[in-house]
Amino acid sequence: MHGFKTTALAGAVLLALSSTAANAQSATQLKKELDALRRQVELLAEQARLAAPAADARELAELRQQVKELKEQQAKAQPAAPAPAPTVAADADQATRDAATVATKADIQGVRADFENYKYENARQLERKVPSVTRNTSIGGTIQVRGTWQNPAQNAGVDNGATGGNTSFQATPRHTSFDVPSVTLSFAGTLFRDYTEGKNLTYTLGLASGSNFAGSPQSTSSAGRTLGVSSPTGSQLSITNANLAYSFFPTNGGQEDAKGTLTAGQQLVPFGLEAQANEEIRPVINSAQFTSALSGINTRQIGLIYRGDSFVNVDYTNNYRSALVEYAFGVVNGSGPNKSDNNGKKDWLGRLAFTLPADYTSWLRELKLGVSYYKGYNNLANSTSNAVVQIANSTRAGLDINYTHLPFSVAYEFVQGKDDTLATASATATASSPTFVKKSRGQYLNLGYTWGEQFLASEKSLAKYDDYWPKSYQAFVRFDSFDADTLNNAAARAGSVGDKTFITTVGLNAFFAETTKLQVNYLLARNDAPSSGIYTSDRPQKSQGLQVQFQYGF
Amino acid sequence: MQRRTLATAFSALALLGLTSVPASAEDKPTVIRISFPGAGTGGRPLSGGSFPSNAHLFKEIDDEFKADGIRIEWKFFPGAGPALNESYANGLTDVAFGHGDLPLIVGRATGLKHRIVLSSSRFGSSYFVVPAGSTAKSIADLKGKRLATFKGTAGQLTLYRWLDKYGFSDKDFRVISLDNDSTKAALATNDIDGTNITPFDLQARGIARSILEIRDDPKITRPGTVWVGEEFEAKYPQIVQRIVTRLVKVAYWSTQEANREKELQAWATSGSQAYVDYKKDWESVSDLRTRINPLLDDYYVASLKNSIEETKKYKLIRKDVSIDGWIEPKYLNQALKELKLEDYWPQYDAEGKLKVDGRKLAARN
Repeated sequence: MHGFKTTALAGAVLLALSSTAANAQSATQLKKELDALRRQVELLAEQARLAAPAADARELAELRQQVKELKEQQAKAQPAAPAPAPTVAADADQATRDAATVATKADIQGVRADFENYKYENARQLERKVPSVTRNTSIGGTIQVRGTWQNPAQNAGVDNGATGGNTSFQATPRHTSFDVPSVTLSFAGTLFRDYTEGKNLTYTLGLASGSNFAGSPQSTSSAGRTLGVSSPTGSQLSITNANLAYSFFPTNGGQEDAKGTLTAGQQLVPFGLEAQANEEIRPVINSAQFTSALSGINTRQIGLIYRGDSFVNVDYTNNYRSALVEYAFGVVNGSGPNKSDNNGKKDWLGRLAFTLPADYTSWLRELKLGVSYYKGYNNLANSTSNAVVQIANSTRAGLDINYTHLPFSVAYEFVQGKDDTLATASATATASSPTFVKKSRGQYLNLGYTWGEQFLASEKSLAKYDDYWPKSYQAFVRFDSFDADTLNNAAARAGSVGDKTFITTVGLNAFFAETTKLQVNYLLARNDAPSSGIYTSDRPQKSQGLQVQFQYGF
Repeated sequence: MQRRTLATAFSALALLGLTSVPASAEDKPTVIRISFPGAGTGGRPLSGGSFPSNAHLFKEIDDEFKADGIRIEWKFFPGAGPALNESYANGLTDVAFGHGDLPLIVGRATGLKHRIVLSSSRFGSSYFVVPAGSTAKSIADLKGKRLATFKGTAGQLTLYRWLDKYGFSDKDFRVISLDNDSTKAALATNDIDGTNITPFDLQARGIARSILEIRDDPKITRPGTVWVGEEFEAKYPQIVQRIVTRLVKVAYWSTQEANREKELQAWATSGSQAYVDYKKDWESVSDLRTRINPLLDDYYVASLKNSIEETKKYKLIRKDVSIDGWIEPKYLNQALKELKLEDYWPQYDAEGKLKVDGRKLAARN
């Protein structure tokens, strides 16, 4: 009997000792052990009641004490009770109280549910509402909406010879017109991304609507000047850019790395400033006259062009980057956009530009001098048979100076074209018909003054909650002249006079939202006298116009 | 080109230029443009991590000038310190709240004229972090690989100091430029092999891990700076004094242990660092005055000089930079006197060692 009691006591003590690690045991297990111990105590009590020796009574009392302690431990081990929160001072602020408040499992489940809801909603939106593309792509575009007033009025009844769609002949003279002169759509993206060095392969696809807007003073034909220029594709959307480009130099190393990219396909020609300026940054509504008058550089071309720079200077004041030398060279068809080569000769082009290495705060910052050259070949055709009878030389040489030191900006560009031209009537032209070199010359000077921060990277990227964009205003004056034949000797060549136009444009651009600007241009055009000395109504001595254009992008 | 027309055009432009210059002889500005070299995640106009941030988050400066009708225009530049320089160079910033050493110095080297009136922060921990799946255990393991830093910011010099400390230079790696958010994304996609960034949130998300950690080493990190434009200071010295005094008051509040949680949580709202980053990064700081210290003491001056030498060494500036006349402590001294805090903050010697312990003050509002 005693042996049993001792064993029971030892077991109870062992249980008590082992249960000190209450946190390691589950409450259920503890309860089972407690019940077992209770049964042993009751058994012992029954035996004590029968035998009642004093020593056993003491042992019984000890066992009762142990059972009491075990009950206390069980109470402490209740799993539902949260851990007590750290105490905080009575006057602690809410943030301190929050930091001392323990999250429950229900809190975490609530957050998890929110995450799941978000993930579901996001996946649902992606599946149902968001367009997808095969490769990385960004989409953009610009639209121009324009109102024009001109004096003298545009004349009626002059055939502009246009055969494209949407060309409306003028029935009665008019002073005003509403136009949508241009709509562009662009897609650009990365076909192969080099994560190591950023030698990426990218692509561009651009589309633009041609328009038949009226009264183009820079047109080389009198009909065009009077009635406007008919787009060869009417108002249809045609491909402008279609190319892919590979960077031979790293592009993710930082601004101090030189650049070098080969672009294959249809693209803008790297000639001068104006010819390669896109609609978003061009200050004047109408481009300089030479850009539309001189073939080769007046349209996009298909071919291979390499563009790069060297001797890069980075002013870490504001990460301002300038390259001492920028260069471009390439070979193209020369027959314009969306056309295969129309003769057996390729056109060649090159450009070099030098930017003065200067700190950002220097007054000499962004002073750039560039020279461009384009060597092309034009087909001379017999206008009766439409047969090409000669392949003529056609060259373009340009000089440009640009100084953009906000708020001031100055741009000057001089371009001279040389074209072999049939000396005899084209209707009877043959392979042996004599030709002469017709020189044409265009130049412009643009002076600008800008208020606001539109052109500062730091300001336009400012962190804001709303649709912030720095308001900017840009006033400018441009003097633009083009002489289609610089001989200017009616006796030697009748067409060399009466072919020069000088246009002064004064304008104000208001940039009031990202990718959106309102342009107001006043134009005063003056034409030189024709060989007859008598100005005609479609080419008056002076004409003036007012253009208001709203250009927006997306 | 017709000469007369050209002359008329130039005259018109010159007139435009002259009339656009703001004429002001007032004793107070209508607006004070205060800039932070950074912004919150997603381009939110928020900042964190310093007592000048608190001045914005708790509208201290706005309140200071509310009665005067002076509007505070807060500017936050995702382009960081270099973008702030561009803004100031174009006359669009009056005061900078916490410019890092590199953009501050290159700005000075290229002719930006400002006066240093306060230190915005000092010391702090720095971590070398690699993608979670990286096997690298040391900087040596990353030799020849891609390291990211935001070039032109103070982080660039911090990275160079790390490399220097372990016997390397930037030439031993391919150092690319990424901003803070892009660096986190690049760690997640393994597009970079290492960087300096606070790692705790990234570690919790399983994106990255820290392989090295340097806590409060004065030779690795450099103080931030509060400056005012020289022209603004010359025109409105009383306004500058009020800005500085209010900032010192905010700095004092920010050093109170009772306010620790409030400011850590407020800083985290910007998202540039998660709450857990601030919490763990600051948990070793038992006395907040260690890092939140506006003094222009020996340590500040020596740090600036050291940073100038480093900037020259790494050929990030071409011209020499003198600190003569650059630091203007009179506003700070006046503020400390006015607020009776002359001996509140600990002062450090040129080596970053404690020189004079800070006075203990009971918390006050």
